[in-house]
Amino acid sequence: MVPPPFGVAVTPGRGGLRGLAEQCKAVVMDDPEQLASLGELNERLAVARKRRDAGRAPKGGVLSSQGASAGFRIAVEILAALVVGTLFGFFLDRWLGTKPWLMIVLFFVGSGAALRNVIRTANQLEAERKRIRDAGKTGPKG
Amino acid sequence: MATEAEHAASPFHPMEQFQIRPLAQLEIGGYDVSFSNSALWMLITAVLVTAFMLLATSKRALVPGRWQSMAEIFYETIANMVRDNVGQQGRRFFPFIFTLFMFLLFGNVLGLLPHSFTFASHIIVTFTMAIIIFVTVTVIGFAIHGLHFLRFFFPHGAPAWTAVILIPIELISYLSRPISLSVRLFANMTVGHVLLKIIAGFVILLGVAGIFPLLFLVGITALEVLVAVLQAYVFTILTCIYLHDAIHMH
Repeated sequence: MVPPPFGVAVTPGRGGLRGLAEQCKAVVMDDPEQLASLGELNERLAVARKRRDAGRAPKGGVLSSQGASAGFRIAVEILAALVVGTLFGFFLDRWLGTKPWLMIVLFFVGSGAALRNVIRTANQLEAERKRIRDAGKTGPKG
Repeated sequence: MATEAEHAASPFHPMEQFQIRPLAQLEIGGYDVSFSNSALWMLITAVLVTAFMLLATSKRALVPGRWQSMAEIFYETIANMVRDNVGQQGRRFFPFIFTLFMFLLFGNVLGLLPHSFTFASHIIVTFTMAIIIFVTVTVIGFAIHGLHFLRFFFPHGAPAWTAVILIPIELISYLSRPISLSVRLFANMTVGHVLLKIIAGFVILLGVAGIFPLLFLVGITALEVLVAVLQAYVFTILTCIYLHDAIHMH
């Protein structure tokens, strides 16, 4: 005999585990007081889960280092475009004898290219993030 | 005052680990092509990758053992990466992408062993790899699309007069790819190793109190393993993205 969990005796044996579960369900569903306390438990669980998840996601060691690497990736993109633009201008100037105008112009063009690179990198990062999130949803092997 | 050379020879000097030392002197046509420690570690990396893949897959078991599982994980990761980032036409390039990833991964991780050498910490190495990828991808783009590939430098639907501004911007953005690709890998590896060396220097210099930097060093080492793997991954995934651009033109 199982000690009565909800104030009503539940007898095991008949119908195995499933039968036991059905008996418990019947007992809970019949009793409005039990239903209310279950609802309360549900709410408390939801709050606790939210608190747990909030503490986890943004602070995780791996995640924050991923943020650093994303930042580094973007910084390198800016630098590369500026360097290429300016060096191109510098050598074109030397070749055409138009010092310093092409370098100045191409520096600004390089800034534009840097912006273009940043937008492109951000899109790539977003696509990667989305793919990882979707893969996590469908299961580890997705 | 210690001279620069004496500094470089000091065991605490953070840059000493990046010195290229010729192991076997060799000169062809006036060029110094000595077999250096960098070349040695590239060779070790290539041999280890080949041995790992050959031995792990030699049984070809239907139910993989431990070694075969590891080989399959690498294979599947890169196969998925190529499929997701390049698409079906990318399968032809899978052997190249896979070789690139395994070479960088093993090279970066082996570089974390004491007394080893990280070849990716020299920009000439990463830049050579990046420029080869860049030229190959550009050639592939022209081979597939012909002169139509030049449309890549001008976004669809933009008014014609904006070409004056947009084409130089797109061109410089395109030309900056090998730089950003190589600098990213080189800088990450160099910075990590310098940091490790400096903190390791503190451990010795501080004596008993060196336990604190030692604890820190354990954390940094774990982080460096992560960076080594991550940077090999990033280098490879960017190669895939460049390939995708060349094949599909956005």
